[in-house]
Order: sequence, then structure tokens, then C-alpha cells
Amino acid sequence: MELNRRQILKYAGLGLALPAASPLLAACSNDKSGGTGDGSVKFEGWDYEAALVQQNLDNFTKTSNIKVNYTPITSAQYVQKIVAEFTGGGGPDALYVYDDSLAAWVEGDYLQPLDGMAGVDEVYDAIYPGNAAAMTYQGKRYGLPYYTDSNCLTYNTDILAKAGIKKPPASLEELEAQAIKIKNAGLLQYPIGVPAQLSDTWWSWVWALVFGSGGNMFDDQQAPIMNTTDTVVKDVFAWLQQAANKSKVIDPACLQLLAVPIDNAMKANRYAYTIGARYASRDYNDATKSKAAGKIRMALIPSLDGQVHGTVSNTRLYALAKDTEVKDNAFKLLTYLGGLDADKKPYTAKFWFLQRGLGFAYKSMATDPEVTASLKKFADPAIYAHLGEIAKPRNVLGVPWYTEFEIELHKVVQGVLSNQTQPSAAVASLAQTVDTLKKKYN
Amino acid sequence: MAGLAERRPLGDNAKAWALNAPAMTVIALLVAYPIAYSFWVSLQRNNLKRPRAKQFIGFDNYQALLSDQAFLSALKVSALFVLVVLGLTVVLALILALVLNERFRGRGLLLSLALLPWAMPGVVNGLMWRTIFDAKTGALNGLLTQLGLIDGYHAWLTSGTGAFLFTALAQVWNTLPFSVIILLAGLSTIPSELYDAATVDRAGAVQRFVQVTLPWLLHPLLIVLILETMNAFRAFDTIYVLTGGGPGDATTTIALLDVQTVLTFTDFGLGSAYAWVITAITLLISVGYIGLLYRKGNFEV
Amino acid sequence: MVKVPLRYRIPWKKIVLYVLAVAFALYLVLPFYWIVAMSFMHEVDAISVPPHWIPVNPTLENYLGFLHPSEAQQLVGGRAIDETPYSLRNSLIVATSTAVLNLLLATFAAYSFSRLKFRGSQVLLVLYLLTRMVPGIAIIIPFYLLMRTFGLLDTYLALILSYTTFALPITIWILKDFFRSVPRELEEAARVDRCGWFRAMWSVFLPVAAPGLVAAAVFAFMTAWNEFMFALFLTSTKAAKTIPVVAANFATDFNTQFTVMAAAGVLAVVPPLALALLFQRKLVQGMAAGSVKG
Repeated sequence: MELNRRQILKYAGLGLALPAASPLLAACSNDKSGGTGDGSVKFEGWDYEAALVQQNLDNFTKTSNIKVNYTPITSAQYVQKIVAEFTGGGGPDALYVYDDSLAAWVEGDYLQPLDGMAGVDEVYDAIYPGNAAAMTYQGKRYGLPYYTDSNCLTYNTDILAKAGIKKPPASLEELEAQAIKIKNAGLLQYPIGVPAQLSDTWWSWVWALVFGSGGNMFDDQQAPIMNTTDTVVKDVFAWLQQAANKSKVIDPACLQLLAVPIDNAMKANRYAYTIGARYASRDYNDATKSKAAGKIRMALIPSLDGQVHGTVSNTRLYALAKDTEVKDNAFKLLTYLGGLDADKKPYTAKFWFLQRGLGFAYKSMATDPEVTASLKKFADPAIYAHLGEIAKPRNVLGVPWYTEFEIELHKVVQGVLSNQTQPSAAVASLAQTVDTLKKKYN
Repeated sequence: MAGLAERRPLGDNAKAWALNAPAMTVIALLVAYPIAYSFWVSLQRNNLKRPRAKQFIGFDNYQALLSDQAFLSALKVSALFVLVVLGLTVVLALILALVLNERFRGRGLLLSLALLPWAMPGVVNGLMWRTIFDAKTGALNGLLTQLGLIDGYHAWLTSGTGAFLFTALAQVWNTLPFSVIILLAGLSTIPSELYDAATVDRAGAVQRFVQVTLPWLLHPLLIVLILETMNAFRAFDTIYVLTGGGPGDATTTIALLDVQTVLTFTDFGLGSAYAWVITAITLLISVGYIGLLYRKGNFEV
Repeated sequence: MVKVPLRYRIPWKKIVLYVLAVAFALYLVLPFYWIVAMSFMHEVDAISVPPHWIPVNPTLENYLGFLHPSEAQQLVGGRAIDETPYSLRNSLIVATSTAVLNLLLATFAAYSFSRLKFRGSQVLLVLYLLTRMVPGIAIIIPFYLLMRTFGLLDTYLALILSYTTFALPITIWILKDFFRSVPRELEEAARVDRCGWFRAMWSVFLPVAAPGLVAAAVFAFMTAWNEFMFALFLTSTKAAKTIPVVAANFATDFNTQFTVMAAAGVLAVVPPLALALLFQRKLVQGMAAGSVKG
């Protein structure tokens, strides 16, 4: 039997652990990963709607006769746990990957490229270029799309109407003015809410505001520009500082709110505006879960000048482990989940959109009548599509220090929101952070 | 075990090591290797997402700490956190233990209540206090508003100082019981003749406390100090759930930073170096406590 | 000093005592009371402003949901709800086993420190404690690899073994102090009766040492019950996940309700609390003996 990397790691682990006792221990090891011999696929993902995932996987097993051992992992610790598993040599065969983690996981030898495998080119031709780029690292393709989404301004038409506001804001200045109006009308003390408690997941709304005004934090060589050629970041920070501390329209409690309580507040009519993923609107407009059902709309991200528009997108993908022993079956699963079926339709992508409104990477779905009918229930299809077109992925995901930077960004933004840090100091400290990180990683 | 039959001193030695063998084996098998391994890793550049860059670098990780802003700031936060939590815990636990050492109606109930926080896992403790401190619907806001002490709901955890203090309070609530039990246990063994003698001497309550109670409590206090210092230095669950370390760096303790460095940034080398610094500090402090009591001539391990 | 007739003297000490007792009682119980109250409320009442201190429309829904999740609960973040009963079972098994295994190992070791003079005893005692001073995060990855190598991931045994090593040093310290307070004469008398050493330990020494053993067992139980980080890494399914891991899920899960979270929190506290209350008296006694003079 050929030794593959997983086995080598395993024996290396043993050698490191307890040289003397290793033969004994090897005998009592009941390592199940990939080695059960019946071709079943070990599949892991974060625990969003785990019951629906299982339901969909059961359907796959029924048609393909391939067994899938699915383990959902708490989303807050997903990345850490996967890293621990692969480090120990016991990773899954197929798994979800955040575009945020892709570069690191390729560098860490966890994943294998899909180039040349059946139907992959077809998939990449059928999806939006931004999503294709997000799943490509150093020229190789590593995934099939799970879902993608871009950020938008989400607002409560009812609250706006009560304050006599007819149109959502196009500029940040306008957003602040409208919020003040709502505040002064006594409708809400703090009309704007965004999730700003420290966490390990990215703060899409900060990136959305920066991209929304045509700015960026990095150039295409991943050199920091937030402190030099690009003034948008600083101006956005200045706006945040003012809106949080002078006009006090951003809720100060945001600093202790994660995404879930913000969603709940939107559903309870407690905020007039938030910035977040488009798919959240489906939930906000679902009468069984939300008191704001029917009142929530989406708009473009307000910008500094009200003319330029843009937003950020993210891509979540299905990827194949490098050391899988059931490559064929795992790839079949991948194709079922992220690829095209026998009729050249993206079966699971559509399933997720219809079930939960998760954004799709497939261009063809935009004109699918079933999709547009479902979309109309929670969003204006024109704005939805426009956001998808102008959205860009973060261009800094390919660097090994991205996670560290993102976490530092959160702390800096917290400083701005709580008036501890001036905008100019904030961008300077971000640039400084990048310098330090680059040195550390060289 | 042949030693057992021989002369006493030798027999004691062999017997003692035999008795310790099971515990030592378990610890050696399960912890000694990870501990040694983590020290070895702390001498490496070892980021799990860059396996090819792995390299032995001697004490470079430790040297880098001196100019590591995140580390220095976390160390400061931790020192303050330990000070506040330890101070509050010891004072509150001591008073509560003194109260419980008296006879009064409802003593049994109070003792039961004193055990309650012990039964609460740190994560649940964090969740509980989060609902209490909540800016929109929290019980603390509700209570203070109804009592007329504040005129509107506050977001307690959004200022650095606020977050720090409230996190420390949540931590103290959770760690109080263990100290109370140990101190109460110590108090319960003070012979009542000592107090009788002091009463005859007409010593005041304070004097009696200083002259009789405190010296008698030195040993339990030592245990409380060592264990609570260790706990406060490594406090993680409650802070993680309550603030995630924010706002900014206000509640990013060294333990939190360490977990983040190892698990989120996957920098196993640097994270291990952090951990060994924490170990060294706790060890030094513990030795300090022991030395302090040694000088008082009142201590035997 | 003015002489006051005895029955008119203001009982300052009593007053201070009761004031303090009440203050402490409130401090200890109020936070917990709030999540107990919430656990019997409907979501709407739990987040109302001003708060309802007493549930207005009390409901058992939040608890019953753990047994039979309603459709709505199954739809939104049903996994943590589904896993709660299993995690309680797992926590109970793990914590109880840890307590038992700990006693077994610690009793022998502690006995040696309390009864035998041997070379290296002081060093060994400090070494035990030293293993607890290294933060868990430093050893979690090598520990994880070790457990993986043994094929123990997602099993009770992995947790029991790790918690045993966590609790052992402190339990040894607690027990050796207690054992020292047990009069030597007891054993010697037993020996005169020609009991073997093990018989003497079993029938004479241990019964007297019971309070110390209880204190050590409760301590080990609590250590195992409350631990989060290792449980998070060593378990992945409801076969072994413990209650803190599932509780953390509530914090991050999509769409969790406050009230269900509160109910889970209450359930997480009940078993160890019952244990502590059951052994309350022995607990204090057990800690008492040795902790004073060493």
C-alpha cells in the first residue's frame, strides 16, 4: 500500500507522541476518516441550516448511491476547527470554504485544484467573473460555488415614510440627514445599526462603504493605500465618527452587537437602516419571523458623493481536500452541490435561493422565471441585479496575513465609532499594521 | 515493591513513588508531552497555514514580544484584570465567608446560594451576563431605570472602561464560590477558645479579626490567591462570549490574545511563546505568595 | 460608658450580619433568577421594556422544545436545541467519570504526601501544580493530535482523560491536606488488628476521610462540567459534545431566541448545583481540615 500524506502525518504524529507505545496505540486507533472502504464521503461545513443541508444530501445519496457523512461545525469556530483537523491529518474529503480562507488553506496543503476535472470549465464559464476570480488562487481553480452575495443598504420603508422620506439616500450625507429626521420625529433614537462587536468573521459593511464610494484599502499589488493615494477610507471613517458621535444616528450599542441581534432588531422595526448581505432581506420580509415583513427594501450603498456606486461581494465555495481517498465520489458530491446537473442546471444553487434566498453565482439564474418570481417577494430585481454587477471581491484575500488585518480593522473601526481614534490616526495605524504583518510574514 | 519489606526510610520512598505512579503516569502520558511539545514549538516559526516556512528560530519569538504591541497591551489588560478580579474576589469571599461562619437563620440557604455560581460553566455565565447587560432589553438597564438611577437605557459594554469593569464583575460572580468554600473551611477550624481569649481581652471586632482570624487564614488565603491568580490570568470563556475582547483592545486579555493567535491566526509558534510567558508569570507570582508566607513562618507545602 | 440594660441594647452585630447576608443573597441569586424567569417567558415578554420581573404568561414551551422542537424552532437554529438534551447526558457522564477516576488516582498520591516522608516529595507536589500553570491553549493542538492518534476524537474518553489531568493536581493538594488531619492512630489501630494495608485504608481510613473525598470529587466534577475549549476541539457531534459547547452554539447560532438560550442555561446549572447542594456540608468540612496549617 502506498503511503499518502495523511498516513505519513498520522505516523509522524505517533512518532512525536509516544515513540515507545506506538505499535500498541496504532492497534487501538479507530481512525474513521476516509478509510471505511465503502466509498463514503466525509463532508464538513459551517452549521447554517444544517437540517436543510442534510435533506439535500439525502437526496444526493438516493440518486448516486454514495454515502455522505456530514458534520456541521459551529460557524464561529469553523475555520479554527478545520485548521486543527487538517493539521492533525484528519480533515474531511469535501468541505465549505470561505473565500477569506482560500489562500491560506491552499498554502497549507489542505485543498487540491479542480482544473481539468469533468465540467469544471463549464461551471466557470457559467458564473460571474468576480466569483470565478474569488475561487481561483495563483491561476488554479479550487472550488465550485456554494453561494455568493453582495452588500446593500437595507431600509424600512414604513419608518422612512412616517418621517416623510420618500427615497432611500444616495449619499452618506443624505443618509445621515434622513436618519436625523427620523430621530427628530421621535421614531427611533438610533436609526442606523451595524454589527460591530469583535468577531472572527469579516465586517462586510465596512468594506461595502469603502467600495461603495469607489475606494479601496489596497492596490492590486496588495500594498496599503488607505493612508496614501486613497482618501475614501479616511473620509468614510470620518463619516462614521460623525454619525456615531456628533449626530448620534448610529446606535452606540452596535459595539456589543453581533450580526444576529442586528437582524432581530431589523425584524422588530428597531432600526431604519442597516448595511449587510442582500439575502437577509428575505428573512426580514418573511411574515412568520419578522414584524417588519413587507416593509424592507434594498438600495445601493450610499457613497460620499452620491454619484459613484459600488459594493463588496463574497463567495463561499465547495472544495476538495488534497488527501482525499475517495476523490471521485467527493467530486461527484461537489458537482451535485456546486456544479451543473444532467440538464446543465445548477440544482443546489437554485435550491438554496428558493429556500433561503442565498445569492447565486450562475448568470443563467438571473433570468430563470422561478428565481425572479421568488426574488420579487423580497427585493426589487433591478436593484438586486445592479448590486450583483457592481460588486467586487476584496483584492487582498490572497495574502497570508489577511485574517490578522481584518481583526485589526475591526478594532480600529471600533475606535472610530467610540470616538477614541481620529480618522487620520485610524488609517495610519492600519497602514502600520500592514507593514508589521508583511515583515512578520517574510 | 520489594522495598516494602526493608528498612523504613527506603520503604517509604518506594511506597510513595508507587502510590504516585498512577497519577504520574496519567499526567506524563497526557500532559507532559503536549507541554514539552508546546515549548519546542515556541522556539519555532510555526504558522499552521504556512507549513513550508516552518523553522527553528531559538528564542526569537520571545525576543519579538518586547516590541509586540498587541502582546504588551494584552499583558497590561491582563495585569489589571487579575488585580481587579483577584481583589474583588478575595474581599467579597472573605466577607461572605465571615458571614457564613456565624450562626443565623437562613445560613443554610445563603451557603446554597453561594455555591450557585460555581455550577455555571463560563460560557453560560457569559451568555447570562450578556442578556443582563444588553443595551436594548437588558435586566440591568430595566432595574436601574425603574429605580430611577438612570434616565435611559445605556450600552454598558461599549466604552473601554465600562466593558472592562462589567466583564470583571461577571468573572468575579463566577469565581467567588470556590474561594468562599476554602475560606469558610479555614474559618470553621479556628478553635473557639482563641476567640474567647480575645473577647476576654476586650479586643474589638477589627482587632480580633487581625489578631486571631487573619493569621489562622493565611494558608487558605494562599490557596485562594494562587488558584484565583491562575484562573484570572487564564480567564477566557466569559470574556469571549461577553465582549470578544473589545471594544478595541479594552478586554483583550493575554489569554484571549493567545487563543486568537493560535486558533484564528494559526500562529502556533508565537502563541506557544505567549503561553509560556503566562506560565512563567503565574509561577513567579505563586512562588512570591509562598515566599511571603514562608517569611511569616507559617507555611509548609 | 453609659450602662444600657441588656434587653435594650441594639444588636448591631445581628443587624450588620443580616444586612450583609441579604445583600450577598441578592447579589448571588438575582442574575440567575433573571435567566430562570426568562426561561419561562415568551420571547416577546423577555425582551420587553421595562422588563417583566415575573413571567406574565408563564410557559414551559422553552423547555418542552428540547424534547420535541416545534416546527418554528426546527426551522431556525434547531441544531443547538436538538443537541441540548444529548449534551446534558454527555456532560453528566464525562463529569461523573472524571470525578471517579480523579478520586482513584488522587487518593493514592495524596496519601503518600500525607503519610510518608520521601525524597522529592516537595518537588513532586510543585510539579503537579506546574502542569496546571501552562495555559490550555498551549497544549490544545498537541493534545488534539494525541487524541487523534489514539482514535479518541469525539468520544467521552478523550474528555475524561483531559479533565482528569486538569483536576488531578488540585485534587491531590486538597486531599493531602485533608488526609493529614486524619489521626494516624486510626490506621495503626487497624494494623494492630492485623488488617492488611489495603484493608486498613478501605475500612478505616477512607470512611473518616469521606468529607475530603467529597470535596475533591465535587471539585473534579465542576472542572469537567465547566470546561469549554477542549470540549470544543475534541468533540464534533452530539455523541460527545458537552453543554458548554452547545451553549456557545446558542451564542452564535443564527436566529437563536433569548428564552430558549435561558432555558438551556438553567438546565446547564441544575445537575452540578444539585450535586453541590447534596454534599454541601461535607464540602466545607472536606476543605476545612487541611487548609489551615498544612
